[in-house]
Amino acid sequence: MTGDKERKILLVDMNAYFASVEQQCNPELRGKPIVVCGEGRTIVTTASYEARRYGVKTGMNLYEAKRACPFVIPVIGNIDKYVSTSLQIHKILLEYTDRVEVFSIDECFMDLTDVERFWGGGEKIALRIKQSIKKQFGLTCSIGIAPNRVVAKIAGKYKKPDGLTILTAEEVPAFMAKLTVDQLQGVGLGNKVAQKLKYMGINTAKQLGEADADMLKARFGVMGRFYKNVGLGIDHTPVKSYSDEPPVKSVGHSHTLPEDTYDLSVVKSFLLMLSEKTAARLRGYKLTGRTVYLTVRFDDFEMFSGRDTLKHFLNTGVELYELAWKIFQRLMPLKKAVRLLGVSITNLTRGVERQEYLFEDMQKKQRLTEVMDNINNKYGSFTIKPGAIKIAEQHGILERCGIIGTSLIKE
Amino acid sequence: MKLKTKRTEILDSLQIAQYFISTGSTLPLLSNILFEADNDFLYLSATDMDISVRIKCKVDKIEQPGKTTIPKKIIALIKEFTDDDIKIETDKNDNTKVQCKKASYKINGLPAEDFPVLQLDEKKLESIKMSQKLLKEIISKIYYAALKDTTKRNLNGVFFKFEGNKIEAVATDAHRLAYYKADMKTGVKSKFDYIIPLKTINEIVKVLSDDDTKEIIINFYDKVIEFQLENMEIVSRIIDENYPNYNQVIPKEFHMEAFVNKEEFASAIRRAATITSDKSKIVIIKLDKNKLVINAQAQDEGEAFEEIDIKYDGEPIEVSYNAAYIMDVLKVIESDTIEIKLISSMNPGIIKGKGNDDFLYIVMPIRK
Repeated sequence: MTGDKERKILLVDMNAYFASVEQQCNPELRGKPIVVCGEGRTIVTTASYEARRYGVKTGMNLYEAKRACPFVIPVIGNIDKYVSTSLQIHKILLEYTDRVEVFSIDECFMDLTDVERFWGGGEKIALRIKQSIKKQFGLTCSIGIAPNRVVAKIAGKYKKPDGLTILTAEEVPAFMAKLTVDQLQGVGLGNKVAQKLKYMGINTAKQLGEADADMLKARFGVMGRFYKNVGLGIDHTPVKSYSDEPPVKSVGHSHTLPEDTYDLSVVKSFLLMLSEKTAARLRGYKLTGRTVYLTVRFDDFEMFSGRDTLKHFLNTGVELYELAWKIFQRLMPLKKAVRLLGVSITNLTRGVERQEYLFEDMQKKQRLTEVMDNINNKYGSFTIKPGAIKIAEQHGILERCGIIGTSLIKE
Repeated sequence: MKLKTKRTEILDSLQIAQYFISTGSTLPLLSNILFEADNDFLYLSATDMDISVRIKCKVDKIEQPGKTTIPKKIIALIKEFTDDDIKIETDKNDNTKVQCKKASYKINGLPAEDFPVLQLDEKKLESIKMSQKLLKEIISKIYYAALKDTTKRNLNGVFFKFEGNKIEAVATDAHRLAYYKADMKTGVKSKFDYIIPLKTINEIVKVLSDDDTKEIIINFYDKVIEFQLENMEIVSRIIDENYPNYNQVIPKEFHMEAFVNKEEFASAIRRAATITSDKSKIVIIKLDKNKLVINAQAQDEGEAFEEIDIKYDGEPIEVSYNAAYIMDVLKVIESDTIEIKLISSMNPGIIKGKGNDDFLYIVMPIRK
């Protein structure tokens, strides 16, 4: 523990991460406006800086992106590529301290308080990290250094791309005073909270810091105190160690159906395909999970999401599918056509599921899954697959399955 | 309906009824308790549509017979009264007045006519009478081994087989299995097997008595089973599926057999399990000449080593288990010495009390 000593917290934020990785992998894309898309109907997950100049933003659909920038190049995302790059970036960070907390796929906090003196200070460390990441991967990042996570995060976002912003405790109040509530977003202050604050007449960090604690408490409950502190640039949250449990959050896939449908055999087939894909990734990461989420978007864009938590852990596509289908049945009889389906699994743990079964039929299924994984790992995904997936294949292209969320696995 | 009762008399019955009230049902009626008073007794019923209970309750005086359903909050209310004399009176709109000394409460109920009762309209196949203590013993020895969720419906219950005067009961989650067999004083003419939902088992075990003289009557129907106790009847749906062939997975021949002091083994496993991570409780058990070694390790967290003296003269062997599975059975075995019987590190192993073949616990290893 560091006691009352001023902490030195560093945030690394990779710039336009997915797009930059794609540009590095394919030199043809470098310097060009590209967007990385996740789903079948193509929502922009990341836009390269070249595309951003034309006003292309995350969350737009491809049509909107093309209207903003007619020659934008869409690229289908590959989460495994981003995860493996992230894992290698973590290794660079871990050369300095084990107090590295993976915050999302492209952001990490580091606590340098006890180690900065070995490297000649936080600024030197930041520059070395930037240099290593640039040299090894050709990627740029923005770094913020501050006495706590909240301010480090704001500092990290302050200059992009390739920025470096360092703040000492004395500089924090003046720095915070300049910020609007909108600029505080993403540091424990969501968009909705920001909107509510503005509604209450709180438009700047300074106003938030000076707001009446009781009033914030009445409006936001226990979080009120935290928000006030955000406004003041105060935050005591420690940075976790890299070996702490778990940056692993969830694994999942979603797919927008090529056509809105009421046909349950199509729904079932897509659920099975999504379940198989999710389970195969889960096993690839040597994980098992026990909370299954099903997401459904209807033709009117209304969302349904349901979940089920088991007492035991699972990692096979069939088990996942059975639960997803059970959750789907809550929607029966179907009143609207289904547009998108998503299956994901959380509550993950390292795979202990070599637990043997007593009964022969279950043992056989377990062996079958292993054999299928071996074949698919060797010859490519879905070389061997359940026959029921055929329907889904006839309706859409497997490879266009996207990824839900920013799941990230440590090895 | 109008009656007077002692608080303690009715509270016991109400609290039993509470076990059976459906939780999280969208049907308001299922959160209510059915009150039916005839000239002699008050009957309380509760159900969640899969299992239902009807409790006979003696009260001070029934001034006017009748029936109604009352929301379960009446239980909390009666629990909080401090005086023993309580008056309950229902008007024709199913609103119930509960009075105790100077306190008076009105609770809005629903008509009794709509209350769902599990029907016993099909033909009763046969009955059996057995000791409550024995049934409680059988259930408590095995029911923790059943699957606790419904991913495999047939395993989310306890399997019972009645044949002649023999009873066999099994619970398994597909990785471990608990088996109990016993003789009853009386028997059945034909053969019956039922998978009784774990939910029903959990409730039944709470109301069974330890008194050896108390008996329970079990009535067999095609799709339901009824348990009759002195002052209550419990009707449960059964799980209408096939149970796996457990006889096939209980090994009959072994290569290795060890005799281990139960307490020493149990406390060593419990200690070793503290090192394993919360979710994967893998312990490695090694048998060697007259000693048993337990190893456990959690990545970056630490490791455990335990050694205990045992009686063993077989080949050295090393097997990995889920510690939770081992701890479960050690809690219910009564004998001081247990037997561990193994074939190999890949086959099912048996844990049981020394010299007792009526209760067996079979557990699968974890493959490396």
